[in-house]
Amino acid sequence: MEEISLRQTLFYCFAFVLTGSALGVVFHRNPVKSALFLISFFVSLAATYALIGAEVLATLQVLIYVGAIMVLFLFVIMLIALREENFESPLSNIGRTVIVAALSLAFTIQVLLLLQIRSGKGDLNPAAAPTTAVQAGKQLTDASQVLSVNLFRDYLLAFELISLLLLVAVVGAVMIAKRDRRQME
Amino acid sequence: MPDLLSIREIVILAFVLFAIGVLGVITRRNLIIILMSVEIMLNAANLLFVTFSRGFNDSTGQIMVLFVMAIAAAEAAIGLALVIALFRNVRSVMTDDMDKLKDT
Repeated sequence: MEEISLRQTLFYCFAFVLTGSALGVVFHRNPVKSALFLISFFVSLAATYALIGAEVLATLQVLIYVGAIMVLFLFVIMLIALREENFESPLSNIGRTVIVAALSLAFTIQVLLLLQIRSGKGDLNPAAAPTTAVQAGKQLTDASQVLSVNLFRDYLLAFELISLLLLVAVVGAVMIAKRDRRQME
Repeated sequence: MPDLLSIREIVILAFVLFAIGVLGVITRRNLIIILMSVEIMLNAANLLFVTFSRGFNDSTGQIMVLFVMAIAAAEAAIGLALVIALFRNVRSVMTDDMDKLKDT
């Protein structure tokens, strides 16, 4: 029988936490707690990216989603002061407690496993670097180097268009959320 | 290589997460929860992109994920601005209460 490696164990833990957090987002009655479950979802997904071997994306996932998007969500939830809605949650109180306890247990296991890796006893090998790109006769082997060369050379136009889109989105969001002047009078 | 994650399991995980997001969009009536479920669906798609990008050893998929993240940020900003504008007019974020165009 093939032995399950540390990497796979971690993946199963993160998959469990991801599924549980997603269910928490969808089925929790309180929007603030849904948002907190969503943070747990994003962080676990970042960890999964790192496990798969996309470290750059893992960092960006935490920075963009948890740092920017979730703050926006929580800000809006607090701004319009949502109450608990009378949404019939399919989970009983005991069911919710069991889910939270299981998620906490999975988190603890992950931390213990990660500590084992840090102390050098684990077998979490860095995955093989992706296809090497050649630039100016130099072989690029670092995964993040390959990614950035691809992004800023082959996809430069798309990158610039995305920045334009974000600018338009910012202006649009301000215009939409701004209080109408006629309403104020 | 015993230390590799199987692509199949990650794909199954992504499908399950996407299904949960769809479930949230269909069943919930709170607009903010619906936006969060959309984020879950986008992230499930991102997980597939990253998985196959690593599986085929091609970093294009990861660049697509970067773009999806940027678009998700724009979508969240616009969506939440719309929620605020709606709340200002209807005093509610429940989809049930948005019936101003209904002929009554």
